[in-house]
Amino acid sequence: MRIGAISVVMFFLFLIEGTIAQVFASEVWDLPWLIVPRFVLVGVVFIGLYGGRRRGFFFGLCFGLLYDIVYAQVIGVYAFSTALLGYLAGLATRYFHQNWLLVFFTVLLVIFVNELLVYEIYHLFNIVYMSWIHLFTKEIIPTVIVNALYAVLIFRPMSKLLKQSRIEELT
Amino acid sequence: MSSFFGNKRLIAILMGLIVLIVVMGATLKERPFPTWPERLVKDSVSFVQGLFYKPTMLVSGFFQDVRDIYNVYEENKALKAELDKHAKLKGEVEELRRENARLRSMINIKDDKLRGYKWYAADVIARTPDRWNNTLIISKGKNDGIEPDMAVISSQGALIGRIKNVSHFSSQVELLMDIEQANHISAVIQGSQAIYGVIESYDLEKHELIMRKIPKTKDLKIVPGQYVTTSGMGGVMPPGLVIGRVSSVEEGDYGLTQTARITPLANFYQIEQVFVVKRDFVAKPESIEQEKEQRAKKANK
Repeated sequence: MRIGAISVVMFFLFLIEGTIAQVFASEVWDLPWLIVPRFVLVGVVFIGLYGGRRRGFFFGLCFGLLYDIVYAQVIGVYAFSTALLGYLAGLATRYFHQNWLLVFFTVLLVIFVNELLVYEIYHLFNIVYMSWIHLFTKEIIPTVIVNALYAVLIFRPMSKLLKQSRIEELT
Repeated sequence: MSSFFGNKRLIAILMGLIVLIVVMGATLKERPFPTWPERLVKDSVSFVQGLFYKPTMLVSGFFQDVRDIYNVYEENKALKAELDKHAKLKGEVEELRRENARLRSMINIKDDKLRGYKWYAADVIARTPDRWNNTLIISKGKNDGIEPDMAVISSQGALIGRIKNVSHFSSQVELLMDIEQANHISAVIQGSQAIYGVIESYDLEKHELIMRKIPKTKDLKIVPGQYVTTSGMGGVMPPGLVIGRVSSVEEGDYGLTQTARITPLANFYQIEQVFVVKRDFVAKPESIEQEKEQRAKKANK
């Protein structure tokens, strides 16, 4: 696995997340729901699916921690959730073959669990509060759908990058 | 499937949870100056990210322009109606200002030190993508004279937040949506009479600020549409920064006070530049305590 190239791509996704969030925020377009870009998490899921659970865990931990330091104020939440979900995504390949449908459903599930987990941890520490109905209909479901579609969109280039590195590893 | 949650994994997850709670507990408190590894990461990421932000804003600016074209006609009509009022107001303000200066000179008040402030312009580098942390990262930090808790206003002049923490070359701005129990804003509703209160929280669902502890007396009448500004009492926020407009008023929690809901005026999205406001005169609680200590020492002698 070309760790270097993949790290660069992941870092790029990380940066884009911070800038694009403001540009395409739904508030700008007067839409009632909120879509959170989770490009890094989708990338971690790809790494977990193609590179195994250990790598998924490792990348998840590093980029989750980076996210916590740069964007969040309390350290630990994203490091925990991203690492855990990267590991779990890595486990999924044991049972299924890699194709875009698997990626689509894994991302769907991972993003859903991630949103819920992050909300629950923040809620546990009394940082945020939101009613369940609003949380699900206005925040989580649009975010999950958009991110899953995004995963399908980048499926080709990402799998190319990750598979290429896998072949190099084997030879 | 039995191996899916084997003993080893379960223990690992539990250990992870323990570490998470310990780390969260340690970092939960207010930290105006982060530790040096954090500062290093923040500064270097903000440097790289700064290169990306401008092009993205250019692209989005184009889309915004296209959208604006549709609204131009309606907006123009409304603005023209507004313009006549504006001319009248301007005359009034000038007159009041002159009168104020004259009255001040009559009773010999020197320039009001509490009102003065200067500002630093800063570029926005990034905005937190998720919902639970509403912060901006801006391109000026400790080396440019930014200090924690300074007020931050948008280029339109409306209050958008305060400085949460500063690194050497960048700092993090906490937006109004993130007001927690710890940092309230002392605000005043502007009307024929100034009505003081405290902005305590933000309703994430309706996008409104909630101002509590407004005294309930007969002659204090709050009308929806009134402007709300900072009061400048305590802390580093100067008076007179516009926050928003009152949207509705209701009874307070125990019936003794009133609660007003305020729609913020600032647009929290697509911000390219912000101004950090530095108040000229800040009364620090520490300095008062020090003075007291010194006095006590003198008295002992």
